[in-house]
Amino acid sequence: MSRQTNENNSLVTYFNSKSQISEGYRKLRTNIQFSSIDSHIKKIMVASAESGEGKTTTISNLAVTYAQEGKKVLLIDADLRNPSLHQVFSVPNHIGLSSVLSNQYSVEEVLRESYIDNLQLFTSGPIPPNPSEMIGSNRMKRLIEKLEDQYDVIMFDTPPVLAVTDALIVSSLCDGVLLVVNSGKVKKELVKKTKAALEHVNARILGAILNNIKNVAVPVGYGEK
Amino acid sequence: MKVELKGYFRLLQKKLWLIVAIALVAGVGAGVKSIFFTQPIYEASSKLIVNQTSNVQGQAMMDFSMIQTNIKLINSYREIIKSSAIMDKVATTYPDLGLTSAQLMNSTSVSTASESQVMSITVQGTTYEKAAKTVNAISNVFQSQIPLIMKIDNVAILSEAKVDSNASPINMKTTLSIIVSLFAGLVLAIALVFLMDYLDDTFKSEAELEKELGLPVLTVISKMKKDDLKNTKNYVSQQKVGDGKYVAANQ
Repeated sequence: MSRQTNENNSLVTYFNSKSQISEGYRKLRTNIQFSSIDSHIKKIMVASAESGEGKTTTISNLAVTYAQEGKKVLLIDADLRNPSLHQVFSVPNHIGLSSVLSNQYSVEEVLRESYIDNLQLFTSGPIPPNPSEMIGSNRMKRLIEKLEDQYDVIMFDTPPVLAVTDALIVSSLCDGVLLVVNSGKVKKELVKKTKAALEHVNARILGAILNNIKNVAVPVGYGEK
Repeated sequence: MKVELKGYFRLLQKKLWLIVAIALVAGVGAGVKSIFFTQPIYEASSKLIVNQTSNVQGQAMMDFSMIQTNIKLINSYREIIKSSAIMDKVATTYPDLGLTSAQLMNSTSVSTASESQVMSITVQGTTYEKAAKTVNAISNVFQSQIPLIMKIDNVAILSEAKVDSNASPINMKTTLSIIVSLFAGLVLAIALVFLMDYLDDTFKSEAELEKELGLPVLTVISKMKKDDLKNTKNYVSQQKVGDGKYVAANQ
């Protein structure tokens, strides 16, 4: 499964906000907002069984739709093993989350503005030898608590759930988990296992996202042109 | 039931290209095979009649038991024709046919209509002319040999194969074989599609995901196509320079 390397192109919500796909991401935003009436969902992460199911694309586009709505959004690349957020937004990644967690830089030094208003990026930084320990550290917890006050929404990109434990650790920091399912590619059994793993750590799964669906009947454009 | 049927149709519709492709490949394959790779086989046949009249007081007579005997004799004749006694003789008498007795045996078949004294010899060959020559040779040899073998002269040639007639090969039913292959390919492809669907253990629809995972599906994102990725927005740097898209009217 190849990652989306052709940077900017996966940000369909920004570059082609009238497309059906962008509408799909706006629907996701609305459904998240409506799925929590009493508790405000502020920290959201994406999870999936395997790599290449579209986590980064999903969370990036979701972040853009939140930002377009006027929310102050921070997008964190918590995938310290195979980071890709910096590629999507074409920003450098020589310093980032791992640099902050290892006390080399302060948060203010590594936060990056994206070319989208209201959307700030927290890239992964150099790949550390002990990603799980870093993500699970108290320092990470405190860092998120601190950032929470400054943003309306914080979003996390994570490694695949079944591959490494990192995603489960991140889920304990979050209010809600979005489960991305690559349609027609990933085995049902693995998705169920992923769901069970998340439930085991008491993650709150907001719902699933069926990604990369083929041959959908596209409704006639409404309000276009 | 109705829903299931609809599902099947949808499935077939989705994989229509695959079904059509397999059927076409099968049809074209059969066509190519029968046109370019099949050696045409021609068939020629001659008819012999087995008949003997009994001589009672110098007068030729035919009675029922005689006819029955002849009919029974035909069974023996069928075996005799295909025996080496006849075929060796054919091979040596007609060396221009270029066939060995074994080849002759293989390409020859003898048939009779039931309860009739007529038997027909059929020979297959690579050209019609050759087949006809061969079948005539066999009938002639048989006719001349049977009195020596059976001590009875009761075989007459009813009709010989015409050497110069314009026959078409018996195994070149191109259109038919294409149609059959197309149909077989179609059936096979449909079976394959159902099998693939049965073996496919992945989530493909919103309803499936919701039902089997017990999670609400928040959104469905279709596969990004080139069209979706097209920039309707200018890149950041350019955007700030000229307001591009919307200024045309007032210039």
